[in-house]
Amino acid sequence: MSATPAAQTTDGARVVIKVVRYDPDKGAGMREQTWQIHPQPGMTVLDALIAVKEHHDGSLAFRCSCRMGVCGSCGMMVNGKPRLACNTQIIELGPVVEISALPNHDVIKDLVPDLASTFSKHRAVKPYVIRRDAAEMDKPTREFHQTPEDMLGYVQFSYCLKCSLCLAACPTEASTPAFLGPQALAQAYRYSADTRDEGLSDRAQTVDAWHGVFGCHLAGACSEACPKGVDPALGIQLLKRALLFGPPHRTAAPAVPALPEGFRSPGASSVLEPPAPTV
Amino acid sequence: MRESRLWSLHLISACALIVLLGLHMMIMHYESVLRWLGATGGPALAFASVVARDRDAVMRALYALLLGFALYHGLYGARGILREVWSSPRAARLIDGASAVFGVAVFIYGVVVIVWAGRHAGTM
Amino acid sequence: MTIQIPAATPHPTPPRISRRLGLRGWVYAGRYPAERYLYILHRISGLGLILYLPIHVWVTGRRVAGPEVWDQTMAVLKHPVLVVGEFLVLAAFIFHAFNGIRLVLAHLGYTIGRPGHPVYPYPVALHRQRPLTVVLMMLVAVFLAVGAWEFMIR
Repeated sequence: MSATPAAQTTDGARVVIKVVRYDPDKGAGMREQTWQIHPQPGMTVLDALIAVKEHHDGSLAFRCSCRMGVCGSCGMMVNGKPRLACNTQIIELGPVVEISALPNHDVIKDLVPDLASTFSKHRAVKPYVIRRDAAEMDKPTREFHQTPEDMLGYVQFSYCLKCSLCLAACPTEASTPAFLGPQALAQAYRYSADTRDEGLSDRAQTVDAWHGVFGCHLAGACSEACPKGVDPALGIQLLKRALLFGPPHRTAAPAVPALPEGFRSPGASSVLEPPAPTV
Repeated sequence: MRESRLWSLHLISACALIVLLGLHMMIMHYESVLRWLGATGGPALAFASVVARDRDAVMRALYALLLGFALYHGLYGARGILREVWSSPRAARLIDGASAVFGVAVFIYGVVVIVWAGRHAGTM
Repeated sequence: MTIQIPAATPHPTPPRISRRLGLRGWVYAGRYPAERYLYILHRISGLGLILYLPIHVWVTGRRVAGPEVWDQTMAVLKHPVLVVGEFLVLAAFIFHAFNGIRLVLAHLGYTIGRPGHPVYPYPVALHRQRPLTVVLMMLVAVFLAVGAWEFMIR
């Protein structure tokens, strides 16, 4: 094996990187391949994979983008837990790092999962603010109001990266492809709990089902796996409560405030137009 | 019926079962504890005790309730597990139908036994 | 001159391989905390109870055939394997009931905390419920111990 470029190493010890690979052109199922690397201070699993790809085997395939835990691209199974590779330090994993593609997903190649089903489940729960007044939704005449307390009711669920680690952890997702999954259900709650939204009954058609919210049996692995603290398990239980008892309590402030007396609205069409050029 | 209705009945039956089945288990399996708490009467499984429970209208009603709640709660859970293993729409209809039919059949059998035993208690 | 752009040749989709864990994923799918495994125990105990129920309804229905048949049935049930089985049913109920209390509370949104701003290390709903879980599992142990003692002195 070619040596890595000279750099500071922690204690000279090498780390073994074991990757479960799959090549669709060759077929023949999954196989394990092993490399050794020198861990650098601050090295993440993603750094290690990039080092392997640069110096040992350029055909290793994996997704990455931001390398700082905000895009959700690099989800993979690392030493028995689904993690973001860029968010996981090599030194906390021990001398052997076993990496494989996310479970409960199809694998396109090596460590690249097919997330199309995750995204289609996400779309199925209508992840956008729905208002009863369709005209107001398409051409809003003024801003929404929302108190900080109202925002606290849903903001943690809005941090979701759509990285699909929660679907890899979920036992129902393991056996039941039709299950919507913790990501979509938590997003259904994120929008239903939003005081600007009036669409819980629209989403209920999708989530009020055995393969919707009632397929969750509180194993809680999704919240353990989530790298952003979204806690989808909490969102799903609160969604069950919302389906039974209605959306969570809102403060008294109306989402769309009344216009002051005598105020003439510029009209719906001009709200979204840019100002006239002055030069 | 919407799934949330079926599911809330599952939760209601769970709460009812904690009380009803808990009492049933106490009578059947914690006799020493009950005697220490002051209970009287013969051993729970002696035929005389069985007849005494069959004669008591309140006990018969409680047993019927226990059977109904237990069947609903248990079969809803089993149906859910089966539907997670086989998740096609056709399998869903089959599993739902079979669970309902089986539950109703066992419930009818149990209630018939309770009513018959109540009428003929002590004369067998 | 218009440029003719040939229609894209459809690429054959390379074969995907499925990493769906299936039923094995119910039992073990990685290193997760206790609640992930309390879930599978809850399922197993529940299945045990619902499989036992129809048999139990039939066996106790034998009382309509009179005291001799009843006593015969009770004598059969004293077989050691069946006594152990009966204890397992009791154990399944004790676990399922106490764990079920935790689940009913969580499903209705109690004891799992409220949404807030996620601050690292992220507190998750089941961690907030952990004290209740520990108390309930201790109650399970106590009831199981007393139940086992009752079986042995019977």
